[in-house]
Amino acid sequence: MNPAAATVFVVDDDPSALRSVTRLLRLSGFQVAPFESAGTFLAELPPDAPGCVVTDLRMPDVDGLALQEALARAGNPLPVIFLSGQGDIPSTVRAMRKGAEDFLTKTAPGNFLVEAIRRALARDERQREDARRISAARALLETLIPREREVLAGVLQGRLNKQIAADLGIHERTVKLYRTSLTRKLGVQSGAELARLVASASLPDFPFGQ
Amino acid sequence: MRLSGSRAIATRKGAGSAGRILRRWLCWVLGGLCVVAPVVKAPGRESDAVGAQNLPAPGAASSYQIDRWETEQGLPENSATAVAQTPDGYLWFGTFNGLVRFDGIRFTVLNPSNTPQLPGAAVVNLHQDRSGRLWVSTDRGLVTIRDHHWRSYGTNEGWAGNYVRSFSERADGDLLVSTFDGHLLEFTGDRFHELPPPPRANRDGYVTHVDEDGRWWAIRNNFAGRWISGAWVETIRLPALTTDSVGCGTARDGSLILIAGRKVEHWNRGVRTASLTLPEPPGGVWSVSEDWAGNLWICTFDKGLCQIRPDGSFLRWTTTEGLSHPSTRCLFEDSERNLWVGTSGGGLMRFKPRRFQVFGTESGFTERTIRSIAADGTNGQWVATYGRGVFHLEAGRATEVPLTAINRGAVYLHSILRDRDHRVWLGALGSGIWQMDSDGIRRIPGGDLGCATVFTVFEDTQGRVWFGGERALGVREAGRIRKFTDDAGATVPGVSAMAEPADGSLWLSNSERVYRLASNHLAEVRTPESRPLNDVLCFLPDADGALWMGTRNDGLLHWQSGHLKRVDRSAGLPADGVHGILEDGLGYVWMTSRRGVTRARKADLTAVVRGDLDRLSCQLLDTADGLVSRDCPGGQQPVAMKGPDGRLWFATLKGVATIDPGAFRLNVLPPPVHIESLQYRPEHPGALGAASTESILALEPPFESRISLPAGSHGLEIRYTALNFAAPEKLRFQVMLEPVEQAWRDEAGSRSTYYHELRPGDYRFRVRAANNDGVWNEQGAALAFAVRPYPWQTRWFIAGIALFLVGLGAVIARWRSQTIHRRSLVAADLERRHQAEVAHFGRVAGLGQMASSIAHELNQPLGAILRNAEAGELLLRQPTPDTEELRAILADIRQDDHRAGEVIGRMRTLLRHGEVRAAEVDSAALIRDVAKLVDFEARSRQAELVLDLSPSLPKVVGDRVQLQQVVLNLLLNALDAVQSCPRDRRRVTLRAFGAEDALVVSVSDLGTGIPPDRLPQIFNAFHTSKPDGLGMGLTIARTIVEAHGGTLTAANGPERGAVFRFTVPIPPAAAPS
Repeated sequence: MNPAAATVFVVDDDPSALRSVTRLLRLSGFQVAPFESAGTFLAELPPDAPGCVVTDLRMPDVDGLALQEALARAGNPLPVIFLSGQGDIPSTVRAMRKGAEDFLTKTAPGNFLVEAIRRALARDERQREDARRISAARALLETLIPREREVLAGVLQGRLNKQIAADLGIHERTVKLYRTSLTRKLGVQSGAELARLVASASLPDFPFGQ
Repeated sequence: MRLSGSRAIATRKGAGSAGRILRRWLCWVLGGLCVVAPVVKAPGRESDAVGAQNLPAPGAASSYQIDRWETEQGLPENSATAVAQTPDGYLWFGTFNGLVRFDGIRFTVLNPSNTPQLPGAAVVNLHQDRSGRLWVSTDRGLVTIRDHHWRSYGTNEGWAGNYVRSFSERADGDLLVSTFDGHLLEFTGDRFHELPPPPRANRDGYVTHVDEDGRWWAIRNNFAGRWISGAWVETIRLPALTTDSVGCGTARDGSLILIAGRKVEHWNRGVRTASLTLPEPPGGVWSVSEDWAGNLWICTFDKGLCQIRPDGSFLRWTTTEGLSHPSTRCLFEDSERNLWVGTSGGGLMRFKPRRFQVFGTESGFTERTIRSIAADGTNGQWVATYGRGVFHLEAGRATEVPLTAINRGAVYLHSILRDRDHRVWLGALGSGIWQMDSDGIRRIPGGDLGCATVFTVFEDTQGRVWFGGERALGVREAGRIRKFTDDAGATVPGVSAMAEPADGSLWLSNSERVYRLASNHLAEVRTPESRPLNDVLCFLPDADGALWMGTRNDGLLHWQSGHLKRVDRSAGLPADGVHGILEDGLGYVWMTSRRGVTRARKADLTAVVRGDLDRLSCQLLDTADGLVSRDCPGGQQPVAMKGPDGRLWFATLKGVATIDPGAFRLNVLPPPVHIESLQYRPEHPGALGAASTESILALEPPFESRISLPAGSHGLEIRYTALNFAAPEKLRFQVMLEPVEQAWRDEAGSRSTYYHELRPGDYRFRVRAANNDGVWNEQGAALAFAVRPYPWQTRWFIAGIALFLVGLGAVIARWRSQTIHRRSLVAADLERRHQAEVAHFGRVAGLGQMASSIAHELNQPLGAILRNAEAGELLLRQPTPDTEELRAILADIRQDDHRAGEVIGRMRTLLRHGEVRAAEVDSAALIRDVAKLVDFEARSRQAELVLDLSPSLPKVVGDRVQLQQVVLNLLLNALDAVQSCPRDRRRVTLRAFGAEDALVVSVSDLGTGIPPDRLPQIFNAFHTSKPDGLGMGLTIARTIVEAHGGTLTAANGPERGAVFRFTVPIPPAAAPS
């Protein structure tokens, strides 16, 4: 994915603060989407949008920490940078503990903010790359029919064709046929590649059934 | 990653045996129908299904959950030679590379390099004695540790021999210790005395024992006898056996357990009381113990672990059954009844009694995704899977009914029902309805119903069977399935849950709406606000006519004659969803969700609904309790059922889980809580955000009684732990730092709390914890410490400055009063000036409380100005700057500057040292100004400030600043009063209106109100209910109001809270006509 498509989502209930940050970031070359409340942001955020969030910490209704929690609950990995009117220690610690990318005061120099955003976007890109790799590997594994998965399970346990055949109650030749078809489907050349592919799908278990 | 084991697949029958399975299956149905003896005889409940010859199922169906710790998990070496538990709750392990203290999560390793008191790194044996000493025998000497004090025992204390083979302790605290090189030593009066060797002694070590009379025993393959009157007397004559085949241990009742070859014997005061012959020799015996349930465990160094159950059956645990290594050394039972097994080479293992048994691939299921379960009428269960149709489960073995052969492909089932005529009905995805009875298996084409997908099958009390099809509701009456329509011709598509409460009506949910069918009329049930009840996944009718409904994401609903109550996370329910719900008949309700199975007391649920109880205490059971997957499906029914024997059965994504609710044992042991360290950075960094490379200092137990940290200490981190060994990952912690925090707050599982900066002062940090079943150790642990002030922060310094200022003030006041005297002003004038001083004092105090809000309000425009200026600089660097944009930036800067000026202005107005000036005051503007100032403070305390001003408020005559002061004082007081209320009651209302001859302003809160006995004194000076209050605010406020000719009164609200009301008279000209 092209990193230019990444968007900086700015959330601040104070219109003037929102306008000034948006302006600075646009001029610094970012694609920026401003929101006046966490509620509208959460409602309008496309689910897979790459980028990062810059949010005011203290806002009425949904504050910055609640916004971060809502994102985490929805499984959205967007990094969050907090801006605060004052460095309020307990909430800073709380935010950083929950994986806030950065925490800046409103009067911090603009280049601090720009640097923090660059780091956040890089982290987001990295996370998305990992997720893409996992889902690609999962999609490949999804193409296997149940028997092929069973054979794959046996192969990964380092069992011989004839052991797998005995386990599954099928003929050894059939096991070979399944092995060939599954390596073809997964496009791998060796057992090691096969193991790497399955590992990169990072499945808690094999997707039998659903 | 865990892959499905080959063991399960091996049991799968080839396609050719389908016919045989079909015949067996017919027998089960017939068995259920006419109680003919089924082909497979049930040997009892599945947990007891393991006979003397059978090995326990190695997987999730066995009675223990086994976890292992090896070097990868932090053990310094892959052996655990001995295990002990100290009175403070920690577990201690010996390894050949150090002594380990374990809190369930973290290992603390002691070895000679970090603990000079420990003579050697190889710990051979441990013993916790009655006086609290932990004995540690190492390769280089023997030491004890108690309360962080070490003591070593050498030849001066009478010690002889190398290292300890076994310890025995008498009730009086004396010890008998045997060494690996054959010595026997008695420890009494803080000294060791060597006993003479028993007959036939050589250089081999003995195992020791102490009997009920307090006599010492020493046992080896060629001697088993007691120490009587200063000599060893042979008591048991042993047959000729090798050294390895004799061992002994102490039973729970104190008697001797002797293993000699295949014989297991109990000896009580020298008399044999029981004897058993094992089916095979246990192997090389290392140690023997008995657990709380009466199992005997024999650790062997070559053939794994042997278990002899109370019924005499014999099991051997080897690597196949989950042991990490076949060489086992010791077995220790902790205070929560977990069993810890030390091995030589495979680290440490925990055997935890399983709460759930789970039947999955190991039991013969070729598909683990379970959707629905039904009892089969005898001892078995019908289990509907998502992919491979239906299985019959009996005595721990699952056999597939060959639906996939009939269907020529996967069969995805949603729901299963066994009706009163013993027919089994299945609702499937894509293949409609299946019927199994004594005539065989049939697929009933969608036909009349026209639905290929059926979510639920339900039988009502009249014997009608209902089918929730994706397009219509079906009903089977008089042997025929037809589409159901009510009198108005309506049907409900996609019904996934049904129930029949006591009133005879039927309730249906299709995940979007809930309907009630009564007298053949379908009516939608809505919330009192007339919203549809969506995402209801399951029902549980209650005896009193109420109905419980589980929802996908919003907890549990309770419906009773039109009243709807919700029980969700805020009431302590641990999971958002309730996918399935049932009662166990023992007073508990069990609910399934994506996060596991929740067990809650029915009476507590009802009390929460009635409002009698704030929070539910309940248990969330998951993989730590034996489930293989905590994810329980929803959207069909039944997903859980109670068997005829009272056992509960649950569908999960990985197998069928079952639990005996009658045998459920709550872990009632409050977890001991310990503070493990206090870390801090001694110097303050020079500037905000400066690199923090300076050192971190750590204090560890034993802590001084009063820890004093140097001035400027910051970055405080307190690490603590709680001891729960059944499921340490489920521990919950709450912390409180007194006096800055007044309430407990949750601290997620990191087991540490961080304070970036603390003002100088005395603190007390408190932490408490709840165990895996939610039982709190209310007492917890506490650590008192003080942060020392810098010289200019000391009380003396501040007091000195204050004295100086007061002195200065007195001089000035005197000079002024003399001046006033000289000008012959009346005493009343002096009084008025004094009053202005006091009012000013109060205002400054009020502002101090709001400093943080004001900082925020000021930083908002300042930050915007900075951003805009920076943006402007960037813009000017462009080749052709956009002047329009630049103009907009400058306009914004001007506006923000104005805003910052306003904030400062509002502050200054309040701070101005004014005297009473009578002028016409716009009361509405005055109130709004103050409200604006307080609003931010309110929001940051998550309180709501409601203004209710009548549209045309009269103007009054008075001192604008002083009246503002009154309003500010009342609002801040009200905010303080609601501070500790629940969030929905944190509301302060300011009401103002013009009465006949006065402006009336009232400030009311929803706090606890004023105690009636305090009401008369509330306006007295120095009366305060606040810990940091001066007791001046209300006095000043009343003085001001009275100076304006009005009144200020206090009363309690009609329901709760306090109401302060003041009036200011309207001058005759301005009064409304």
